Amino acid sequence: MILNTYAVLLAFVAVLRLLLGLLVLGVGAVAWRSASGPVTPEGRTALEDRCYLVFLLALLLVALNLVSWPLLYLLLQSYVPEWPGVMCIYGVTQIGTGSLGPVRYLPGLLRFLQLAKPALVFAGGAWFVLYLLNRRTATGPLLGRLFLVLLPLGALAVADAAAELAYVGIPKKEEFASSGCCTGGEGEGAERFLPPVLVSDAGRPWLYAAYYGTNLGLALALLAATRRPGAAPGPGGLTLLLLGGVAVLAASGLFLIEVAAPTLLHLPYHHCAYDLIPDVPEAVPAIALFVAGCFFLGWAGVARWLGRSPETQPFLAPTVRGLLRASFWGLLASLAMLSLELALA
Amino acid sequence: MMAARSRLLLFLAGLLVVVGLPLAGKWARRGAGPRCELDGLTIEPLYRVRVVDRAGGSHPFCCARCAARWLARQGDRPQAVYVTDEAGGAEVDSRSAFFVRSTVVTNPLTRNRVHAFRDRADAEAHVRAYGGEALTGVERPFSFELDPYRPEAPAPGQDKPEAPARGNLPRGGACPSLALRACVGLWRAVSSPGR
Repeated sequence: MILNTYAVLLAFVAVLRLLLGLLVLGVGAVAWRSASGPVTPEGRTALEDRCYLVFLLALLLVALNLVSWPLLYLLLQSYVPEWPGVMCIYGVTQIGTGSLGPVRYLPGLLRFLQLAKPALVFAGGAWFVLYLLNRRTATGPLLGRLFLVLLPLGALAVADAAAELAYVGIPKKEEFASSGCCTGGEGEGAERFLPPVLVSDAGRPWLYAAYYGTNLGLALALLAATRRPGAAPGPGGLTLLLLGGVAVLAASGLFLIEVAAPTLLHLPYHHCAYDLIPDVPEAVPAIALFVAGCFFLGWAGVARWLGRSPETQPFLAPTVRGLLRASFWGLLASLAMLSLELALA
Repeated sequence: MMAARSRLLLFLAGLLVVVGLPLAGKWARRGAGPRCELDGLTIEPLYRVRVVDRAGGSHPFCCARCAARWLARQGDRPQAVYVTDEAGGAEVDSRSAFFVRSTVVTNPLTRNRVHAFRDRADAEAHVRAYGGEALTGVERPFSFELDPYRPEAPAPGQDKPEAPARGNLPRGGACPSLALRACVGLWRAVSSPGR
């Protein structure tokens, strides 16, 4: 176990999230069962009190999930000097690969954590959007759907917090079999700490075209969809926008790793977006704005499909339009920022 | 009216962040030193290797191993490769340098153990102090990437200049290939630790 400030902080937050997740799961399941059956006037008051408690706990859980995402990367960055061959977070993610003992679980745990963090933030945001819609109604018609999102969110938060505690707690000393990967010649063991190249130099112009084409296309589509005040696109239009969002996510992820990171870092052969955190920190807000833009688009879809009810009808379209507008500004700001950084690099 | 003003302020603040952050980052890194073009490590001046490509571009590396790996990815042969003399810190053409592979690791990431020296005596002293061996022939770094050493043409009336000795060789200038093997073998037998 490597204990430093970030490890202690992350472990503390993970313990809090684990407890909150369990509470949200337990109290939420009871409240959901009460809400789905016939409710007496006394039972109604008890249910409302329980819902307030659950939603307060859920709000805290959503906030802590959001905080734990950058904290994980700060912890990984703080681990870089701990191993002689490791130069960046990518190297830390490779520690334990091919090793014996509990340390062999570290890469798998990190893969899970890196996928669970954005999933948690997205699920938390989706729940919050529904919560805001539900708050504006008189009878709370979205209560059942709120629990439908909240219970998986709590379960994922519990799994994520447990994985995080396991990652911090597992001793990080690698042990290799006598014919393991690090017993080869000089420098061979260090190769695994360098990220692989996914796209050759010939593919760079295509990546530029894909990145700018998909991002500008989606931004224009979002602008067109939100042109009329008070109106939101229909289900077909929103589905197309969401599909566009998936394409933008794929193209931009590849562009970031294969083109933007090597250019911004001035390292043509080092295709590693993790290095942007310590070396080009101003690129992190551009990435955060892009992620926020994609998430706002997804939350618009959640609001459109899970937030529909006769009571929410008057303000559903403006809410969806507002989320799509936020997505447009997030994507546009990210595009402008990254383009300026690439031009200055 | 108030809402429009708030929106305008919000837009201006966003614009300031979008334009200001990249400029601030560029300005903050204006004095940063060169880093290895392969793995991004900070370059230790004593182990610096510089490759000059055919177009005249200069590419710094943290060690001979990184430079060799970078060169392996290039299509063209380089114009020159310069290594740093570990004893004096001066830049030396790799074709005239003496290379040693010893137990001393210069770079924990690449685990490079190849050391470069301008003078034979310094290379021999390093081997005596830390063990290892001289690198000769195809073992020498950049022996494949660079053209063979071609000394400048002598001026009329001058003798042809002597090519520098390759590797960690006994004193006495250039050796023919058979003599070279004998020289290296003799030197290793004499200088290897524990013998």
